[in-house]
Amino acid sequence: MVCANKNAQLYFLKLFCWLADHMENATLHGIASNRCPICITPTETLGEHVETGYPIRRHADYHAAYIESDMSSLNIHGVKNIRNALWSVPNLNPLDLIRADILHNMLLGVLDHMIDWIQGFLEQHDRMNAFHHV
Amino acid sequence: MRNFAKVIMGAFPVVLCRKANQPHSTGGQVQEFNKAIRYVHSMTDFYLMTQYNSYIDKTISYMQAYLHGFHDTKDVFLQFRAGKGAKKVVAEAYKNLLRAQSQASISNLTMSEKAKMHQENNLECRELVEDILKEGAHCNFLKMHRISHYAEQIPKFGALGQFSTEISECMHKSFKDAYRRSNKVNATSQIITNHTRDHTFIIKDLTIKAWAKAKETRNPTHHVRKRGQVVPLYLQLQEKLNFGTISNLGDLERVTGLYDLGLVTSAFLREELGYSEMSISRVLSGGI
Repeated sequence: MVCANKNAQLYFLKLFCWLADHMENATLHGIASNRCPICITPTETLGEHVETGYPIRRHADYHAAYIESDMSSLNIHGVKNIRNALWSVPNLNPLDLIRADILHNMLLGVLDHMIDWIQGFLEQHDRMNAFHHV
Repeated sequence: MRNFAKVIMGAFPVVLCRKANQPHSTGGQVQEFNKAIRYVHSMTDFYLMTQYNSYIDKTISYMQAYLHGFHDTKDVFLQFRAGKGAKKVVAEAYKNLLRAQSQASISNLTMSEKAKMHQENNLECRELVEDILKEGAHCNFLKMHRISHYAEQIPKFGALGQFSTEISECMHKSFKDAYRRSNKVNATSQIITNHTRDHTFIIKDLTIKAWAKAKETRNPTHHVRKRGQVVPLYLQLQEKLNFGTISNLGDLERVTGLYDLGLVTSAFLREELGYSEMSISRVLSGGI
């Protein structure tokens, strides 16, 4: 591309991030909606805190598995058996698109749950009236 | 929700601490309270830290510590975190137990014995419910897991606040409002009409303001007699205009009652567009 100062410049387009809530992410990355789009944590242990973290997803492997139609290895990682458009984008690791979504995750997610739990907890210990009073 | 996160840390311990008119807390209760307070404390602090604009290694390590803190203490709330399946099981077991108890209590007992038995039955029920809820409950849901990725995402991409979907979700607001105003039957076309209407009103508002401003600042018609405010004039115009009968500027003057229209137009052409007198008179005499 020729620039305003008559110099030829090279441009590289790069997909940098994709802001989305969880369901959109699940569709975008072709992942089951009860699985983490970043790592391969199984559904049963999503609530556990692991100090070392789980191994992250490797989309190159999924692509290979999809071409070989290797259903079992896709299913283990909760990946849908469809062709993901992001696999064919150059210079892109699909994981780099995922961003933290504070609105849904913290405000409407975890804190919302916490309200329910606190309500249950206070009702069990007969402190609900005092709480309303405060 | 934001305000809740700010006040809960103050309100929660106050509620739990013993007041004169409240029953004495037992030892077990106190332990549970401490745990619950720790949980709420780590959770709110974690949330407040996600709102930071910049991070250093130390703040990230704090975040990890809070994460650790509420994973340690979350079992206090576990029984309130029962899934739908567990709740169903509880309801069924509760029903079965009640049936068994009612069958057992058909024998002829005295009143006091009956009351005692009733109390025992209640206790049994509660224990059963708690046991099942604790077994069926888990924290294995996704939102709980996603926050553990925050600490590794911050050094990679920067502060979290900028990636919230909040701004883009704001765009949905006008559509949601429009949907609420519709009668929910065939809502799409109603939403579009509503949007068009709102948009038109905004544009009209802006036009009125622009006119008023132009009149104030530049006042190209200072040598023409004043015709009152711009806004009522505009409203007046809206009623009267009937373009079918107008063929030139003079007609327009008569129809609208704006007797200075020709003067204003010529002043505008002269001052703004730099027309010569001859071309101005040609424009004014020509049809519209």
